[in-house]
This record gives sequence, structure tokens and C-alpha cells, in this order.
Amino acid sequence: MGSALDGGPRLPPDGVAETLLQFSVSGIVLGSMVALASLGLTLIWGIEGFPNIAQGDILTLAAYLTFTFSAGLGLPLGLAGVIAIGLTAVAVLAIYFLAFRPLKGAPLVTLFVASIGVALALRGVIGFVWGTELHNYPLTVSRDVSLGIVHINPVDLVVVLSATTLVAILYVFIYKTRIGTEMRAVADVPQLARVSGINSERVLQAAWLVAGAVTATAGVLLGAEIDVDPQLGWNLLLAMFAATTLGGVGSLPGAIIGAVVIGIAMDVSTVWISPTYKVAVAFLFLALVLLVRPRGLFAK
Amino acid sequence: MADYLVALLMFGAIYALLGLGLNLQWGHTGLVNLGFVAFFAVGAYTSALLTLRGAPLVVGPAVGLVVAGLVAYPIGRLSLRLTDDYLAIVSFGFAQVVQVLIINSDWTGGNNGLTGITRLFRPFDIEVRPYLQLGLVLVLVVIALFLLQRLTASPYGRLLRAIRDSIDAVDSLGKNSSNYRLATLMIGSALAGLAGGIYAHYIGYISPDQFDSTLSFFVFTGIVIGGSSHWGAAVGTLIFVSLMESTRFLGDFNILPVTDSQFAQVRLLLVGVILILLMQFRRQGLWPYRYRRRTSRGPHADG
Repeated sequence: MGSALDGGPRLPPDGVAETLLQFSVSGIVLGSMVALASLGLTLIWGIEGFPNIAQGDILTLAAYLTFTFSAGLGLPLGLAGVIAIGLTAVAVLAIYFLAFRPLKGAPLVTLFVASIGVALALRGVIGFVWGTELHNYPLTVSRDVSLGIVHINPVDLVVVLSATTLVAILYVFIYKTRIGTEMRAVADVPQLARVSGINSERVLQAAWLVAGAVTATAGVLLGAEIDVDPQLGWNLLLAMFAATTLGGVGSLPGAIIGAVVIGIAMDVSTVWISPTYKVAVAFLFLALVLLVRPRGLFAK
Repeated sequence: MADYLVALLMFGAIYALLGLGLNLQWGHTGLVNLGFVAFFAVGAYTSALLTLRGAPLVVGPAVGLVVAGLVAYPIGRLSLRLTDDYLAIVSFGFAQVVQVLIINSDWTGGNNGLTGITRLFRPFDIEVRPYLQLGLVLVLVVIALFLLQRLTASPYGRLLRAIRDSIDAVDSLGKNSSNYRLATLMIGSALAGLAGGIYAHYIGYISPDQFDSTLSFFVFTGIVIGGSSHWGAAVGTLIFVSLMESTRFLGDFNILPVTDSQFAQVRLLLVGVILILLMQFRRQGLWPYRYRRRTSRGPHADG
């Protein structure tokens, strides 16, 4: 099953318009997962100032945890996913304390290199614990639902709905709560935030926790779509970078729109080219954005 | 055993060439090239494809060097006018695209790779050939070391380190830092291309999995350990990457408490932890570059 990263569409529809529409639907499914992951990426990029390379492996960790809690311990998939998200978020906070907090005040490139280290270490741990073979959630194969002219799998539907719900929750958190407002303030002008009495340490911890949770959700959902393997999140990293850059670094709505655009572009491109070149489509987008509007669509 | 040591040194020296190239970019100019292995691959495939079509052996690696350097041009143009992180992202993406292209194209042999690549010093006896090959690579390493030393001891090199320390300061002095960074990116990548050419003609067989992204990170960790001096980078990469590659076969001796593939993961974990700790405790590596004036001019002769 699954069309998220490697596969083609599930049904071969007839006419060109239908084909494009069907591929766009699967693109939206892919885009919704990229959107969550990009939100985590752009949140940290905006506040800490560097793109966290470990983002992909955080996502992978959540997928593996979900697999263990559902297939291994027999918990219902939804519950397993929630536990995995919680555990991954805590793990991300721990990573912040171990790897990034000691580098406070260091050049950004140092933090960036540390994030490469975190990525490698995380992947090592994942590969050690779970091995390198493919795993699947215990999902029953379900028939596609027909929505007028396009078909959609119930799993896809759940994925898109969960992603949308989480984005709504995140929106309320960032724009309606006090800590969310402080987060935006720190991301905008850190010095100004500090003189306004904002405890930037607390904000940073909250940001890492939230970014971890959102990224983990992307991983849990992606694991429902395709096989879980140690490169799961790593393979999505370029799409995240492209989406974040397209949307404008630090912009949350930008990350979502960028991700959906990239997702649709990647899947629709498979009408004409082999699905293996999806990653090249993401790269092309990244290159185009950097050429035409490097600050992205919604840069501050 | 001697054969094994020579082979290990041979690979180590090729990695040292890679380390020298990456160190010019990272250690001296502060460029983060996450797709360094792609330039290595471009050099290897260019050289292999050319010689398989009848080009003389000396032409292959030389063209590999030039092509890898030229490929770096659009990458740099795209990303270097922006902040540092963009080069990392673009080069990372570029490496993925190169990998996908190699795997899915017919002319690269796809996943099966290219076989029957002319070996270096083929006319010579199998007994002496490894020593000649090793000699050649060591000579190349020394030449690269010498040239890089000259380059970075010049005002140009001083400018590169100034760029690394503060791009804004360099720009405000009226220097176009983008062009200098672009040149560095191209020179370093060209060196990777040369290393790729030598590599292809040494083992005689190349396939996509030899150019996995982890190699970029191993080389990167090697130079970060070594420090920004050219010797530090070369020795750091040689020892570190050789250690990583040679421990691959430890599983064969059944002395490890874990399985082979688990040990590969332990090595990955180890590399990650080393990088994190280095960033916290010794960012400049073991042998940082120290600028020395050749003629001392009184009390100002410092680094």
C-alpha cells in the first residue's frame, strides 16, 4: 500500500483530469505529513536560527515507537500513536538539554553541526534497537472510499484529518496562549523579548517540546502510509526543507502551504516521470525558490 | 596482512584527499557542504565512464576533477548569496538527486554500477601494483597539501578565514565574499572529484551504495576531529574514516557481543556522539590551523 514516498497511485483512473485530480489527492495526503514535519522544522529554525537536520530521525523514532506499542504490545493503534508522540516529544526535550542547550551563544553553524551529530546518533539507536528491516503497523487493509470522481483510502482520510486537527491545535497554542505569544516574540527579536521580561529558556524548552510533538505526529502518520524503516524520516528531509523554504523560514502558515504545494507537485509529477524522481522534484522546487524568492512566500 | 594494510592506507589516503577538500570549505571558509560525497561520486563516474569509452587513464581523473568542480558552480551560485544553512540544504538535496540519478539511469549501470574499470598501473605485476598505486595517491596527497598550504598562507587564505569568522565584516571592507566562497566550494569539490577518479580506478568497480551520504558525515567528522590545519584534516580523516571502515570487518572475527548490522549502528551512534561532544568541548579540533608568517616582523607576528 501507500503512495506517500515511493509508490504510485492506488487506482488507475481514466481521463487526464481525473488522473491529475487523483494524484493531487494523494499529494495532499503526502503534503499534510510534510506540513507537520515542516512545522516542527520551521518552529526551531525560526527560534533557534538553524535547520535541525535531526528532524527526519525524530520522525522515524515516533514511527518505530508506534510500531512497538501497537504491533509489539498490542495496544490500539490510536493509543500507541499518542504514547509515541508523548515519548518522542520528551526525547526531543532531552536532546535539547544534552546537545543544544550547552551550545547557547555559540555560532549557529556549531548548533547545526551538532544537529548532524544528533541525527546520526538517533539513527544509530533506532537501527540498533529495531534493526534495519521494514516494519508495518497492524492495519487492516481497507477499501477505498469513492468521493465523487476521486477515490480515497480511509487511512489517508484519517491521516489528513489528524494532521488538520493538530494544525488547528497548534494554531490556538501559538496565537492564543501566552507561551505561544512569547514564542513568537523570541523568534522575532530575541533581545527585545528578553528585556520585556520573557523567560527565553522556558520558551525554548516549550518550543522544542512542541516541535518534537508535531514532528512525531508526522512520523506516526507516515508510518501508517508506508513501511517503517530507519531512513523513513531522512528521505522526507528534502521535502521538509523545500516546503519550509518555499513558505519562508519561521512562518507557520508558510510551512503548511509550502508543504501542500510540494506534496502535490511531488505526486502529480509521477504522472509524467518515474516516482523515484519525486525527490528531484522537491529539489527543483527548492532551487526555484532560492532563485526567485529566497526569503520564501511568507517571510517576515 | 601487508596487503590488507596497504589497502587500508590506500583508502585512507583517498579519504584524506576528501578531507583536504572539505576542510578548505568548512575549516577555512566555514561552508557546510552536506553533499560532499556527491562530488566524489561525480568524479568517480565521470572518470570511469570516460575510460570505459576508451579515454586514456590519465585523462579520466583529471576530467573528473574538472567536472566535479564545475558542478559545484550552480550549487554555490544558488545558495552562497544566502546565509550559511542554505548551502547545507542545497548540497544535501543535490547529493540525494545525484544518488537517485545514478541509481535510475542506464548509462551509470543503475544499482549494478560499473564494472571493469581500468585499474591504475595495470601493466605492472600484481605484486608491485598496490605499492605503486599507494605511492601515486600519497604523492597526490602531498601535492594537494602543498598547494593548499600555499593557498591558505596567502592573503587569499587569510580572506577565507575572515569570511569564516564574519562575512559581514569582509563584505563591509568591500570584498565580494560570495565569489571567494564560490571559488572555495569549487576547489574543494574538484579535489573530491579527483579523489573519486582515483577511487574508481583503484577498486575497478563502482556502484551507488559506495557513495552513501554517511560517507559525507564520516569525512566531515574526520576533519572536525583533525582541526582546520591541512595536516590535521588529512590525518584526522585518514585515521577516522579508516577506523570506521576497518571496524566493518570486526564482526567476522566473532569477538563482538552484538551482530554485524548492530555494530554498524553502534558506529553510527558513536560518530554522532563524537560530533556532539566536539561541538561542546573542542570545536577547533585537535590541530587547529595556525597562521604563520614566513618572515617574522617583530611583535605583531601572531596568528
